[in-house]
Amino acid sequence: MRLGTLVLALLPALALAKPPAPGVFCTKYPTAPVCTGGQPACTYCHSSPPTRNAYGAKVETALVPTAPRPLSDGDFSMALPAALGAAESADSDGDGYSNLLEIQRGTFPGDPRSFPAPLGPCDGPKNPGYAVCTVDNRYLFRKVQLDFCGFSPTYDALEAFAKSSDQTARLDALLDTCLKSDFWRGKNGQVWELAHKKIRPVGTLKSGSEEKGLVPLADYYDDYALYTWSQIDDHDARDVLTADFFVTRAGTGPTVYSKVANRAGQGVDQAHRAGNLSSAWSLAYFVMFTALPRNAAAQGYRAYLGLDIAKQEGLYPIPNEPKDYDAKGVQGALCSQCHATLDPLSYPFRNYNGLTNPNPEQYVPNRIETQFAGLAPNISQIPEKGYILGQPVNDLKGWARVAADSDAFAANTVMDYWKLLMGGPPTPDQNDEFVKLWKRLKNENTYSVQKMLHELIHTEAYGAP
Amino acid sequence: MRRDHSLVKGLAAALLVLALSACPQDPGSTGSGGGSGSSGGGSASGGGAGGGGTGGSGGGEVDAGYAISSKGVVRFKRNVRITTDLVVGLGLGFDQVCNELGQYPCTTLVHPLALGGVDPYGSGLYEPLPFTGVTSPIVVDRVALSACLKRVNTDLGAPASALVFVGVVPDGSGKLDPTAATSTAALTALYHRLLLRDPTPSEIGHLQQLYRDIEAKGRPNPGQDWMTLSCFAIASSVESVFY
Repeated sequence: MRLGTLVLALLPALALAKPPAPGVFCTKYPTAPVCTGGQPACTYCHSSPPTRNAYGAKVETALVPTAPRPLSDGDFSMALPAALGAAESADSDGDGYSNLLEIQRGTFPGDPRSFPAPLGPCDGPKNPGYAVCTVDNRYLFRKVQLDFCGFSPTYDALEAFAKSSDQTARLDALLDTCLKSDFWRGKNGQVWELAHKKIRPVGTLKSGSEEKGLVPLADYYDDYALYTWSQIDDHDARDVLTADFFVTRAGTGPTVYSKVANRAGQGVDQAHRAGNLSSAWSLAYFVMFTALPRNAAAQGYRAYLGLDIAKQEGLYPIPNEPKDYDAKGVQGALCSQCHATLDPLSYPFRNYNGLTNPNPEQYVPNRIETQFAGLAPNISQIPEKGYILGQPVNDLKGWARVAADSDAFAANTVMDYWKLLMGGPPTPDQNDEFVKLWKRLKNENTYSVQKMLHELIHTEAYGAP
Repeated sequence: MRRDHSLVKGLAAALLVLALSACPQDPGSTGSGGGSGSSGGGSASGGGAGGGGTGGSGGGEVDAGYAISSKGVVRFKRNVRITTDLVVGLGLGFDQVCNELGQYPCTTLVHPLALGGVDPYGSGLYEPLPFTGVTSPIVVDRVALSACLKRVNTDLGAPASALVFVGVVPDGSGKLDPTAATSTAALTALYHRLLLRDPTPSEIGHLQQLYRDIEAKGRPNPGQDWMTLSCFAIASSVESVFY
């Protein structure tokens, strides 16, 4: 089998329309950090498509230079692996590191400001305070308590720990204690902090009994409750996208979260619920008054899969899309690069009503036909079937299922905690541990964030001072 | 009793410089409150490697012989952890650490963003700023100094139930002996409570010298100022506000 044919066979079946480059790239470099749970953005090779950066220009020179332009998608995909290989030894951005090394180490081969930092020495003189470069349980004890409980242990507690013979068990016990603390799971605790950028609250628009705003539209504390529920007590992290139930919060020290079948202020019927994607707040704030809720789809994609279409991430263009049912002019060359992914991603939201009357924040069959019929000639043809990650789905519940089961979801879930606890994304030398964590989250750890955190605190990346 | 804070404030700034300049592996050379905890290693644009060294609280420990880690991750404690550690470490209530105008909490209401907090509901700041601002070290100093003033005043106000400065009581002229056993024990207690370790002899020596420098200024209450500034030097150190 020719290499090109193999590459095509490995690509998502529906991802052959331009730009197919990210998928081909990750097929060639599956262990590259930029391919961890996602794909490189277009800016990996382009300064602003179609203009290429230094790396993209180097690759382009080796991309069947004798063939007439533009290349067909198939020719492009078959030729790209060889062109990538031809550019590996070059240092396109002139920063002193080859393109291949930068790909392997997770820096940008087209950006001279981004290059691998030399790994410093881990030998040399002793450090009397810490076991430098290896897991140091004394350091770890203090760090776990600070990270998860929010305060340092006492000197006496630290000394007692240092003298104990069962340090690993004590660390795990400490973590379990802290994971029940309000600092971790309570209102405005650490887990809530992870949720802010997903929920995007606006105080003025909050309804409900707590902190009611001036223009109350929906109570996003329900979204925080479901998100937190999904992250604690061995619950399934995917519930945040797939739940057909709601969660209530009560008390402090400890804060208690409980499942409920229905919730005042939540209007979507159980058969059409998709976790926080279909919450009253998401519909009010991300759908609002739009017919085709592109913003709601893009926000779900960004928040829970870590794929920001605005940054040209996670593009899986669908053939013959976008159809431009709502006559927004998205079929232009520059627009269609993203809208060939975004519009099919948005179709499953077509019956989820935002703030348009009647029936705001509810699932409304034939919503487009009844509320937006006059907006554009073909608007009623917007299907409920759509695509996510190149896979066809029938509706939003299908959308949520594919999203929740994807590598991108698992990787993004772990990435949230990695950034929270490490201060940034994994460095190249930490990437193996990061990948192991999200793969085990999907499999052995059955999507339990609690189990994942128990493994995270024992990584060298976390525990080595 | 009238308190003269001008000397305290002036010396506090000088002490902070001393503390930072003496700290090994100062993360990113940002000083107290600087940086927000980006991980070490990685791309050259992603922040420097963290050393997480010992010492660094004004003690002037020589760091030339220390191993420097390429893997350490040094992070800013941010507003809640800083507050809670001061509350626990100095035995204060949450409402006693620092309040602007005597009633608005410094770390959670007035200056949370400067200390790495977020404001998701009001200004849409969902995540901490990636870098601390020019006011961050000022706020750290403000909070640490306020907490230390409270601790010292409380201990001096009720010596029999003193928590940190046990038996440390200035004489009628406001002076004390920084080399007395009670003074050394108080310094050791501060290191235990705020840095979770024993002080080194040179760190003790530096703080004892601080008393002599204060007394040489000829201001009133050198003993009380020294108690406050010793606490401040430790509580505002890089080692105290990073982990």
